[in-house]
Amino acid sequence: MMNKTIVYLLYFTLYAIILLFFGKSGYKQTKNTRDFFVAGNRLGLIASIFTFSATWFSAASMQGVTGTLFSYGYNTVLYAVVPWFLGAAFLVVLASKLKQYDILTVPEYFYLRYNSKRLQAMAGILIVFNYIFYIIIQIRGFGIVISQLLDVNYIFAIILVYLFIIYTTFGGLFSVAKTDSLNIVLTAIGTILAAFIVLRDIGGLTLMHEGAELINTRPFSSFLKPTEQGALLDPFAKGQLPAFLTFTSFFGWGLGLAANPQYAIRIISAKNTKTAVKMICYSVFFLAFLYIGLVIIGIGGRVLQPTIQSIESVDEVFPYLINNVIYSSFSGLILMSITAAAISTANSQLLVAASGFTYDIYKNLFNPKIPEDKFLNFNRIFIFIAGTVSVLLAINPPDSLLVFGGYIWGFFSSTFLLPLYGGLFWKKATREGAIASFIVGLITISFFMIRTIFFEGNNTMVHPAFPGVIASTLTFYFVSKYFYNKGRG
Amino acid sequence: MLHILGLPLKTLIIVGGLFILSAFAPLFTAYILKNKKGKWNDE
Repeated sequence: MMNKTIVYLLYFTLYAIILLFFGKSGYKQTKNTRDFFVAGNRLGLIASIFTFSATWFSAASMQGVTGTLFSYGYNTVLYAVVPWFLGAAFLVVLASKLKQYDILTVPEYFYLRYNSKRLQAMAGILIVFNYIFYIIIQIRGFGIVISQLLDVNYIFAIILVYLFIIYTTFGGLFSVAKTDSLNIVLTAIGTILAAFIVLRDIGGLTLMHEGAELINTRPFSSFLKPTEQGALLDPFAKGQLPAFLTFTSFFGWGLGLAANPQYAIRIISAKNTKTAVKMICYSVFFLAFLYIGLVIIGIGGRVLQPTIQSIESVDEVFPYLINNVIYSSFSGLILMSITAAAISTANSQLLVAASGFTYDIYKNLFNPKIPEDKFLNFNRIFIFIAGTVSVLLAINPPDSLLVFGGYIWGFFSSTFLLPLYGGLFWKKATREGAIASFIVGLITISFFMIRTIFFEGNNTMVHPAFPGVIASTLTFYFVSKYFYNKGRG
Repeated sequence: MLHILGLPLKTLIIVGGLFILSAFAPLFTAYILKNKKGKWNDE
């Protein structure tokens, strides 16, 4: 049998060549800023579904959800997947109105709706920070896989990420969308194959559940405490994760998705409202099938190996299973699919981060008349720098991709949600209300996040986004109402 | 406790039910909005 590393290297090389080919064709189509940021507002349904799904299905899904299912069981579906899908319903509402505005970025909508360059720039700053931090998640996901795959050092592995993320982002949204189609197909094949192999090895769904119900070990040796028998099949993991935390995670994951510029930008880039709405509905169905696959891999993987001794975090579970527990000639392909999920999200986020800095901050405040070609090159320089910063920060990454990701999404729900939806659906929404809710939401979630991370740790009962959204909602309502009435009086 | 495919009925209803409902939530929302509006703004 051929050496594992050589098999993986072959897959990796093949993937790299195909990715370079797909990415290149996007370059040629990009003529101006509109092409670069929103693919000329002319993406059709299939391309939109591919890029929407690929952006959604990231390392937080592939590795975070699978590893958390492995550790906590079915509770993960309520903690992350259900809130995401509910958030997508909000996106449909957003799509029904947002395309009335001729915008290239979400913060530009804030400028048009509230006539505030300051709010546009504030939103741009938050986008830059949030996405740089979120890209760390993807780089860590990628790094874990590559270091397993090619048996190389983690730091060397994350530096490889440059080649892919930066290359695919340089070509703008056309390049991102084209490589996304390759990546999501690869991700889907990998997920289905892995789920199929797990089920085959266990002997079916019933045996999987019967086996999972008996498990009472630690998922890995450094895990906080052993799994209580039956907890993997309990909706609330027999109290391992508080029910209220599961419920309030909707305010981070669900509403964070609803207010997230990486999805709003795909509504803008779709060729019309009908395409945007169909994109969201069909993508969620498609993703639902992939998550069923992850449930089988996570819980089934636990049945096949109740404790993994050699790993430190939930995010290493999936790569470990593929490389050891269910190793087959398909393992290289499945591991590449995890990489594809990370890259296809990171490049989308890097592009939105670039627009936040170059368009919403620099062009908006300092240089509105910058020529097109200079502006596009400026974007590429930013992409290079932001990618570098993310890689450097990923050298010392967070412990859990899924928990960390929920906090970052919480920043979007606490700041963007009210100005975005409130502005579209409430005519009394004012600039003062929008700015105040943005600032109050930001301060509130920052405070509760710091409290959770440094003082409560695993004992936390409430997701930090919950107080953040409540505070920004009340502020938005009362401040807007006050200034609206004052303006009329 | 009743099990279906080895999964407790309570989990099947809570987790499975919410999973399916939430997966259909965007479609339901689109259906309601479309009926209310008649057609999308740019149609």
